[in-house]
Amino acid sequence: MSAALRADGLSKRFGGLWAVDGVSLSLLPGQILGLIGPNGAGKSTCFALLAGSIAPTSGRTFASDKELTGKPAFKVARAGVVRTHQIVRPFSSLTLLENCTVAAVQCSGRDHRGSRELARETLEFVGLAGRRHQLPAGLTLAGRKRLEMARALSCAPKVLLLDEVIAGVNPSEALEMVALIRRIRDERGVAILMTEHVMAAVMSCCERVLVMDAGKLIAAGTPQEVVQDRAVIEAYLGKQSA
Amino acid sequence: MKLKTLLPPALVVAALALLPLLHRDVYVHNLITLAFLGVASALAWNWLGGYLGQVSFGHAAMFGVGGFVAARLEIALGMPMVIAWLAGGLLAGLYALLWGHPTLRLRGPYFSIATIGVGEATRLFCTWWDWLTGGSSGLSLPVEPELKYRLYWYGLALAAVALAASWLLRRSSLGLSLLAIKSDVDAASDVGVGSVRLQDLVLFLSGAMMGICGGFYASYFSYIEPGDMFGFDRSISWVLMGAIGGIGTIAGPALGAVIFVLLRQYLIASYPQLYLGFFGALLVLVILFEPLGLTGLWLRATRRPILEEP
Repeated sequence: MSAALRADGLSKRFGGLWAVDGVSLSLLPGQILGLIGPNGAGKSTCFALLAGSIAPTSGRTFASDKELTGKPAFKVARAGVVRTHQIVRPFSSLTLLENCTVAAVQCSGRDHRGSRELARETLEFVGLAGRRHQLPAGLTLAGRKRLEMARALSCAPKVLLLDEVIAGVNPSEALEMVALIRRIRDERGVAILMTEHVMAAVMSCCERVLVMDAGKLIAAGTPQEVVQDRAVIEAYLGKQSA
Repeated sequence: MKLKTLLPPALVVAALALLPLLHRDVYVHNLITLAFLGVASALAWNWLGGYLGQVSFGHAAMFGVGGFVAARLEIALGMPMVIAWLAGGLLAGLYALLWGHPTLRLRGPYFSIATIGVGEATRLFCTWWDWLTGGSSGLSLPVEPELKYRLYWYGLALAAVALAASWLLRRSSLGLSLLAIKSDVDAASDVGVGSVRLQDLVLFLSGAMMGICGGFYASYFSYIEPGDMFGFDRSISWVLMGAIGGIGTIAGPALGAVIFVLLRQYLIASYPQLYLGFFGALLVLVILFEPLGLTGLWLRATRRPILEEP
């Protein structure tokens, strides 16, 4: 089975710092893969590389068997690999429906009317349909994170890159968010790569987890396996704790 | 499209088309013609400045290029007026792409500063190139009696086209994508909006419409010179029209243009030394107290949300 998203030896150097250093990963269709690591481990840079926001220093990326290396973000998105942002970035002068319609128009291959329909469905799916004619400013943080996901889903992606969509929302909203992530995979057949600081969410969502530290992958396995891994505990808590 | 949406603007256009039959006041007639030109050009400026959020202080460059190209074509080849305007518009649009394609990578104030440079450079080059512009002494078009009077209806058509285009643009996929770029260019890119091509396209449309307006202006005054066509105060006037009415809206710049043209006419006649100072003060007041201009006031008065569903 060819991977929905694959990275081979992905590296990014900023001056003297290798923010991402030889990361290889593959995300299978229908999989929810977690990417965790302490602050500064390179998760967000890794996301930016996969989404085409920045170009890698070396290494290659593929979606299915199509090479994405060096493609600008808008082409990566059109190829079906769409990211969300850790700090939400709604289009503030557009209504929720328009926010999602823009994405659908560019990526889904539908015409304007079809795109609006897809956008409405997607807002329904994340539970924001009732507010579709409002501006994003009226939403709570959890609402904006849902909008961020709805906008990405309106691209009709094959792969969704979720950058800390749960961090910052309250516990009951977090549970709803976890359920939503599962539904995206189960009902929409979208493969998901997610970074998350909320470990409970990672444990309950992901079948497999990759751990990064200082730009490198240091462990991989089921959530239960990695939390017992010596290198992982060292990375999070220091040598003496391990 | 529904009849209900189309009927009111159609009635307004029809009323304006019939208005000259009701009076013989040539001064008022000509003033309305200039207001039409203001509406068309302010809306063209707004496609870039309002929808894309890239405020240009150099749009007189395209106005001038369009005007001089159209004038030259009419003088040298005897080309029909409207064809010459369109040819001028096409060249003005291409000229906009020439400087705009690299410059549109800059955003916000950096782009605006670059456009000041472009506008001034264009003015200086064109004053120097007398083969195109006749240098500082300008160009005279053959005077046709009654042409000025007839231009009223051409101006009305120009303004109506610009309004319809603004309306369609705002509701189209292109318009939505432009607003997304304006709001956050990187986030837009992450959902598939390729900004470079769309920015170039809207700049071309805006520049081309400006060029057509320049051609119209040349026909209207039948004499043009570079200092006036490419003047910095002309570029500023579109920023003012937008600011007065509400940048980024449709009715705003149109209304702002009408107010600007009438006010300017009055102030130039009554206080020729003070009128620019007055406009400067007005701009400061609008930006301080109601950045969305008259549209903002109206929205506040009617307590409507800032956006309605298209």
